[in-house]
Amino acid sequence: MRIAVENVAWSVRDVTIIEKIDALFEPGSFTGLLGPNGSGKTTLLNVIAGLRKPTYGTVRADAQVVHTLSGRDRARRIALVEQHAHTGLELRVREVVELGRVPHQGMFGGSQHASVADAMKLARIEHLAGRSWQTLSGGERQRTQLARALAQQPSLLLLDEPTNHLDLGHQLDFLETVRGLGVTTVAALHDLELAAAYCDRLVVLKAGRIVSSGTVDEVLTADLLDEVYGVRATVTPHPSTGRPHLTWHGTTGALHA
Amino acid sequence: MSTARPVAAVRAPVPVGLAVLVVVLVLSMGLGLRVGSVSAPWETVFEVVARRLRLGSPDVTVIDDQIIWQLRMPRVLAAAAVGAALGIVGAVLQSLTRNDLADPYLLGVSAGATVGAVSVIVLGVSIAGVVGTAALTLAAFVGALAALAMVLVLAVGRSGALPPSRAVLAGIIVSQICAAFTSFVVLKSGQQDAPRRVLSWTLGSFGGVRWGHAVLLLVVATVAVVAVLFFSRHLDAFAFGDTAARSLGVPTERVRWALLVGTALVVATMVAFTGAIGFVGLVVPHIIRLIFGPGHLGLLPLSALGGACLMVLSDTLARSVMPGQEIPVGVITAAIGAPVFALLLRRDAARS
Repeated sequence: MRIAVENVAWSVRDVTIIEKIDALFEPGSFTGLLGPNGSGKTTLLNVIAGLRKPTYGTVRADAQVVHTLSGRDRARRIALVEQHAHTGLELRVREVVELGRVPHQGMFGGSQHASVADAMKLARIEHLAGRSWQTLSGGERQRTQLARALAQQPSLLLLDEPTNHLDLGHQLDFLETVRGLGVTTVAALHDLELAAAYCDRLVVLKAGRIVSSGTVDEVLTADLLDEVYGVRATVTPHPSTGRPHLTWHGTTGALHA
Repeated sequence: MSTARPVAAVRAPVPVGLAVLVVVLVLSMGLGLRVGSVSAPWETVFEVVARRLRLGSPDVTVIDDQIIWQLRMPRVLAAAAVGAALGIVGAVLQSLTRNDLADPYLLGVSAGATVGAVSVIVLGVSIAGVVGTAALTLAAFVGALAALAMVLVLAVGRSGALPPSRAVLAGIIVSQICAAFTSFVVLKSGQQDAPRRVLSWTLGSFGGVRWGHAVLLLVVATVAVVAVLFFSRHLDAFAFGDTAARSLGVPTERVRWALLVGTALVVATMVAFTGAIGFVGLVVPHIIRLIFGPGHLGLLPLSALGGACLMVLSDTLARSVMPGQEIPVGVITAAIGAPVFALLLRRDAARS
């Protein structure tokens, strides 16, 4: 599915959170959404997901305008993995994954669908199926939510800082898994190294506007890092992968200016 | 690594639970028909019910028929209906607000109903010439609806949104205002037995229930249970909160409106006829969840059946424990419900 964000703005109580957002997500691509805290990444993901109606502009999934789709139709096309998934209920992993079938089911659920087993296999949590959600580690919870999202059989996968609270090994593991899926993915990421290593394209937000977008090489430049994050860095091509490699030299002081 | 951690708790299968609770409910209702100021043998109970259901024409004395069919049967049916409604409404509200302490009286309907009841009991207010028990019922129902209306006025946002946190707080505000009014009126009234009469109304009773009331309560409870079952999967989707539910395609705002207001109307009807019987709606869903797990396709019907069983047994005890005197049914539901809940809570705590 090809997602086109056209001149989108969203504001709440006259405060504009994001504006003039234009972006194109090609089928099968993996796009990283970068930007400092409060730059509007989560808001943009929610607008793309159809959970917030843009105050201006539209988001199109192929020919259709996302916010005019019914909730059910939307949830069959677009799946979202939130930053924090919390429940007090004694749910099992399989039951959490089965929630992904809700947009496909009737009122009383339905027979077991193969996509639940497939999703657990893809997210590599088959061995956890009978476990209680409450006993899972952070990495296992994130994978379970990914499997739930995949059980929706979406054409677009939205991930909101999916690698937060994961150790390095689990961060790489998670992003490798997602890349291997081949589903169009937009992921808000904090870690620029990870973004450089796993994304096809990057979109960088600052104060609710896009300041740069394009391929990883085009976007990740020393000037951009200075402008957006207020940090000094050297960007060199990695000797073996050729992807941009970042070396930090400290802040420019712009954060407190 | 995974073997070192506790695996999910063992759950009882839902179909077994449904079957067991149906049997327990039928037995409880039979017991309810048998026991009372005059105890009838099982045989007589069967004969009276069989004759009335035209399953045969056994010889039945008029007095047995009067006691079992005309007095006890509506009472037992009403208790089952109210218990089922309170059980299922409690389950729905706990899920919808993601609040373990939510009970059917969350939105102030019981406090509002009490204001209505007090107005009739103490102040002798009459509505459109209706008097006696009917006036009490009508006033309680009107009070409950007024309280619900106030809660909605306080809680609904400009865009029509009804967030659960605000609904709960508005419920507390309205309940407190109603409680202040009730206390003031009761304490300032010259009638010596006013506090006792109001307290016993508040704790609930099925004493005044006749066939007409029982049929009405049964219809309302049945409609409520069936309607709520249609929301099973939607309620499941609320497990991870509002945004998660919406991302799964659930129209959360509409579902919440329908369920919060719909269940409040059901509870208002129940409270008007029988008083605000506590504990069933709070405790039964928790007990069911601890035994059968949180899936609503099982939780909702099991909570309805469990509530019905608890209520029928409580009412039977209420009119048989102390000969010649009735104990308010709310006292019994708390006395049975709390220890059972405590036991399960400890079982759960011992595992974690």
